[in-house]
Amino acid sequence: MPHCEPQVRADHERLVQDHYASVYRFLRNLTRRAVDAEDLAQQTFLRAIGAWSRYDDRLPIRSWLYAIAFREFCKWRRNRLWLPLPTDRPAVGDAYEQFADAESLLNALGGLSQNIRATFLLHYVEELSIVDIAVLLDIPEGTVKSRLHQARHRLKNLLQEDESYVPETV
Amino acid sequence: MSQKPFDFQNALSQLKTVSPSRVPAAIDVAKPARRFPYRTSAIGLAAALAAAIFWPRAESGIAWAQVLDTNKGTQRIHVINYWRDGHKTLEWWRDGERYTYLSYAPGSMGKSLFMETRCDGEHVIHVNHDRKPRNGWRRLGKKEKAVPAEGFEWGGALVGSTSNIVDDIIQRKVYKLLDERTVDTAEGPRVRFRLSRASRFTIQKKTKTVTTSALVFVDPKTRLIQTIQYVDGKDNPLSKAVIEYPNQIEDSVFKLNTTDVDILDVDKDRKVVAQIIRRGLGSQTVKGQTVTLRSVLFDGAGALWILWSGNLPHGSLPHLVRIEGYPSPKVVPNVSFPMSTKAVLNAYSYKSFTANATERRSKVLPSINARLGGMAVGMRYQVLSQIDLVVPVLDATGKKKLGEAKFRNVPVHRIFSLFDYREQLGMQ
Repeated sequence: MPHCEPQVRADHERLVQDHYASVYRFLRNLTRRAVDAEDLAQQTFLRAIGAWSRYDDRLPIRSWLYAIAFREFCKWRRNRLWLPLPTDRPAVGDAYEQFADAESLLNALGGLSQNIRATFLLHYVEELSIVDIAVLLDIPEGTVKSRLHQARHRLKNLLQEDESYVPETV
Repeated sequence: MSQKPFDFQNALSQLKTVSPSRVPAAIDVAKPARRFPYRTSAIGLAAALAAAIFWPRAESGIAWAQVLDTNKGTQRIHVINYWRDGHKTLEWWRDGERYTYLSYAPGSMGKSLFMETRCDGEHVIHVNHDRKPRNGWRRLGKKEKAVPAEGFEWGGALVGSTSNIVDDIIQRKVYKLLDERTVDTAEGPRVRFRLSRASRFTIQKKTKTVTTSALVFVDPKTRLIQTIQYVDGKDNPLSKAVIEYPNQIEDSVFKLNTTDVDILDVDKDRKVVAQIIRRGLGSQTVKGQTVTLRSVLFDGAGALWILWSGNLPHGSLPHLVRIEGYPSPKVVPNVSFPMSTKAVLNAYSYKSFTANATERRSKVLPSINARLGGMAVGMRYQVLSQIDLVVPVLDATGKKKLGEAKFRNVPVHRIFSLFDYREQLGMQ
């Protein structure tokens, strides 16, 4: 780590402590592998710390970190374009039953593009607003809504559930 | 697999509970571990072995074909160019027949657009953001039918042509290969090629040769170009291009979202301009010399083009048109664009529109059986939709003025650029 003033180091520390868990969760749900999520989360914070002096208030810090995380994920994914991506498998038994619904959801989303998956996760899991997602992904709000609609449509088809299971975006 | 019905809310709740085994200290983040891409799990190892044995080798040509295949036969690329201070200068996308180019204003630190071009495969829209709206007239952009771009080789461009595999680009011999080595980067191992190119350019009649190099960083597996760092003769960084090959590009990237601009349909407008020229805007005869005013076109850069047939102006423009109610124009040396000083408007012309033009530069228009001539005046002032013009009428040598032809209430037609009407104006 480059030489830092104590105050700056404290800021970096707080950045990691406050936001690592949510960035890791986002990446874990995107990559579906803990080890890859850890690597990418590290890379995300490395970049964020490096770009700390250029951070402005255009985005909340959490959204800014998600934007960096998604870019790191895209780069990582591109480098593995030709290789099948194994996923962590939960152990069979009671613990698995607890996560069966999540597994089904991620499987259903797996057939969608990474942009749509990311938009879905940012909205429904990370609970960001459509406006925040539009800013952090640098796309129009209409595109955010379109992606969410595509995700819901896919879920409806693949899970063969009534659309009322999937709440409409306000 | 659970036999219970799928519960969406429960699924979301489960995903929200995902958490890391530990939160590292910031100092640990600074040194990311280099991990083997696949942990030793039965599934992971099997997948890695399968990939090594059965997946095609990413040799040149095959890798690009795989990219095309993944992208369903279209070339899909996204490039961002940065100046050496790290700010964006250019960003562009290509997806088969669709493309978008956004260039940023110098000095705006990548925050203000200078020009944008967006093609959705059917039409191309072009807007110049530096052309500020004037006097109640909104900025003018243009739209025209797209010309197929697939297979177009960009000559000196390193990416965006029919292949982005470095070996194919080196074979084109536009650039000279100086060296090649494997390097470690933040994105992983890369093969770095040093390519050089000598460019000649002339400034004020002095020809200079400048040699620049491009450090091209290539993915060792796919041989696709990932990053290009342009440097000068002393390896000082000049600019950088970062290249992505996305699986998908949003449709909205190829649609115009600038709102305060009028878009001119150039394909339709060409017919309008041809009709105006054919009908003419009036004729006058002065001492046996007839001048027929053919069109008055106000372009997006602020130049007012006054064009007529019969008695064309001399190339050195010894006598200029006047626009009544405005200062007299003057020819400003070495200026051939619509700049004007505070006191005067600058006048200029292209050789196509002067008596000195050869057949190589301009041609006779069949609709009027004559060549077009005329000149432009760079306007700073409000341009009305009608103006009063005074056109100089010259003798056979083109240097002596015989008199003036006055035209009143001449309608002004807005265009984006004169060069959109080459055929209609007889410009070669």
